[in-house]
Amino acid sequence: MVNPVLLIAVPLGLAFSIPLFGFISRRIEKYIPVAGMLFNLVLSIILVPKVLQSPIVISIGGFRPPFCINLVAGTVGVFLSVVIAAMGFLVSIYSLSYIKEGATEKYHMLFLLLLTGATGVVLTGDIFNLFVFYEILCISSYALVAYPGSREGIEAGVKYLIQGALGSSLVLIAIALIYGQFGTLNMADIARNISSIHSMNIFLPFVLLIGGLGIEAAIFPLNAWLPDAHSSAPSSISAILSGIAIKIGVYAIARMVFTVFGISDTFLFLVTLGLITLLVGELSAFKQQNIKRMLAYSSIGQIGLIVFALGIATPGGVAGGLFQILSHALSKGLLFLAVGYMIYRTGSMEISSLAGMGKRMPFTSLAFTVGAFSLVGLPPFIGFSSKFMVIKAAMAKGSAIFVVLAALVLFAAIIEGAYFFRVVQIIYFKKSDNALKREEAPPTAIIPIAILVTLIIVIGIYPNFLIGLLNSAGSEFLNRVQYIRGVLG
Amino acid sequence: MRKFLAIVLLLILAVGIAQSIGKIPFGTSKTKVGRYYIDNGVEETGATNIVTSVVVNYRGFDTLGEVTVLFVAALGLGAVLALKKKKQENDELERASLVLTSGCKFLFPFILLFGSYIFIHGHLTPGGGFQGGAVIASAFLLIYLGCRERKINENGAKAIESLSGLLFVVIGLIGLAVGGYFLLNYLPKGIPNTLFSAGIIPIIYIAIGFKVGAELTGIIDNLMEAED
Amino acid sequence: MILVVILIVLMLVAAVAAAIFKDLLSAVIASCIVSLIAAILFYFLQAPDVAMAEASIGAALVTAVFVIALKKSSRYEE
Repeated sequence: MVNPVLLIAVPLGLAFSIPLFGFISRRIEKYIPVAGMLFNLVLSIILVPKVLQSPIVISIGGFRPPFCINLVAGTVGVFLSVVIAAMGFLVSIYSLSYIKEGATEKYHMLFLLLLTGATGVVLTGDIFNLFVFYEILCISSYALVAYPGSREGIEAGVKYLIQGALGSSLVLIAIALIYGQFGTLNMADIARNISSIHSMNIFLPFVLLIGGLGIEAAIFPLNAWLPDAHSSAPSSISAILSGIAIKIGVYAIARMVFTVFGISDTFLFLVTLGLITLLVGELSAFKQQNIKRMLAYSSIGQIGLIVFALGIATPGGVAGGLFQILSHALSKGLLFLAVGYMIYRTGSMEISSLAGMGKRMPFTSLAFTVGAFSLVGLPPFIGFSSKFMVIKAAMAKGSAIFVVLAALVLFAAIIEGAYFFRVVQIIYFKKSDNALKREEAPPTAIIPIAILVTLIIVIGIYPNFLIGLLNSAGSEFLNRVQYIRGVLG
Repeated sequence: MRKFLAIVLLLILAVGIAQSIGKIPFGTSKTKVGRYYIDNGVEETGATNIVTSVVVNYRGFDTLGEVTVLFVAALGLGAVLALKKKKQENDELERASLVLTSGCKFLFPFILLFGSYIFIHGHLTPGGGFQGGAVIASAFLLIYLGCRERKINENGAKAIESLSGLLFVVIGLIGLAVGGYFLLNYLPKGIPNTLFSAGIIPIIYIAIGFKVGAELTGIIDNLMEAED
Repeated sequence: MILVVILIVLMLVAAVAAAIFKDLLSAVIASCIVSLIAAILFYFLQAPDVAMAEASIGAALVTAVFVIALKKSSRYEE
């Protein structure tokens, strides 16, 4: 039987053994993350048909669930672990030749551990275990942001570290308060007993949890660290941070709201918060002159859209949110990877310096265009299907307020279109002063970029094979009773 | 004015939090998971120190994660400071006085012994891998401060870190292969209160002790060698 | 009991001192005192395991890390 714990244990073991491989040969170590993520990808895809029938609940150490840590590999968890493993696999191929300077061995270890932490968060069924994996994720991202060792890099890393550490301590305090009241850390057990406690007493832990996790998720008032961190990190890491790390924060918030606390009063709050984040992110992105900062602000906007979709809290809305997670991970990952080599060739992050790229790096520019169009939501790319699903779910809610909110989401898409078209126009049509020589990116960058382009187009044209999985994940995410019964029997 | 406003806001926040925390019954014996551990811990895990049975056996997966958190922190520091490593110029160092040097050298083995005692007896007496590892790291700190020409073998520390981490994961995976559960306590539990008891717990704690010791020493080593 | 109260008061004093000292070395020593008293309090609260960890990590290693960092930067807050 395939056990979901292998998704965490094997990459962890591989990450620990990278220095040992390094003693044999310094050239092997960079292939370890590729191997680990390929293993995870294959294993998660094998798990998909199994969890569609019923979620797999496994306990660690062989004790009964509330007394030990358990993993809950439901449709949501396995879907997200497929996304993490796929992005991790592609970006680790990209890193093979992109990362040349600094302590490369440590880069590969941190990279693998970051993804392991993310996988742990989406699979665990224990609130403290979630915190531990969340810390692995956060601390490795602080280090990777500062990895280039430049002044801005270290400054951004320290900024991220301070805000992130504040968030983590809020989460830890919240967990202590929850344990003080319920005497258990199992999420299903807490969810079962939550109604027996006066709502005043769970208000403080709830607020602390949302605030703490919201920092990593970069929800509007808590997103100050993100533009610096995502723009100073190496592009491969920006792709992972934008594509994976912030989504993990959103997943954790959604898990708390839907499963652990099950407070339906907060849904409208989430919708509003998501919409504000969306508008603030897109408007700030519009003003940027630095291409990576622009992409970073656009990530804030997209996170807002995901929170908005999850806040609709119908199976269709949650499915749309999960689809948007996939679509944003692929598109933004593609954009950062493509931009990485453009910046490498020009040596500048200014949008204006990208002039003439359409002739200099034709394939990479084409890939950038595909990613940008997908993010804006043009057919036939994946971004269209996911945004369409979110809007449809908002309309299906039936109340007038949701129609207005959906209109605002479309308005944000127009702003997004404006700044992405500007960049595409500069890449293709603006005359460049430099002599134009074809300098395409190396094959280790072309392969993941090409795979991402293919995925974006194929899923965009045939979204139907995913819709079934997403709908089942959406209804599973909202079904507390089934979750509790699945874990505690 | 701003200060006054900040203080007032803080006070309001404090009252709110105090209201909410005041109702939480900390420390009462109603916590059901805790009661279960106290009642069944020794029987189920074989470790007489209940804290250890919880840390290594019931919630062993968290401990694996926590060891990784420490590992990631040490690694991240190393990655950032790697670019700023000082060139080997030992001549500028002023030698410490003889009293200090001999004192450090005299104390070093005893602190090491104490640290090892803590993590080897983790399942019997208070303490364990984390505490023992920290004590061992403080012995190395003493050497760094007192005898500045001495250095640890970096490759050795790296190998210890990796091997002990790997050992933890492999012990867990063997449990998965033998009994179907990750981190299952599959070794004989022995007679409680003896050194060779509690199955995999002492082995894991020894691995943690080595790992934590090597990591914390690595952090200090990295910091000491960083450029000013 | 009275000892615990005295310790808590001392701990609070040390914590406030750590926050307001302009001389960072003194602030580090004050935070070391906070950790040390916390370790003693943990012992009184019948948590010897935590007390050990707090004493060795909080009081010894963290202080050492701070002092090394101070030695490489400047001692006084601007």
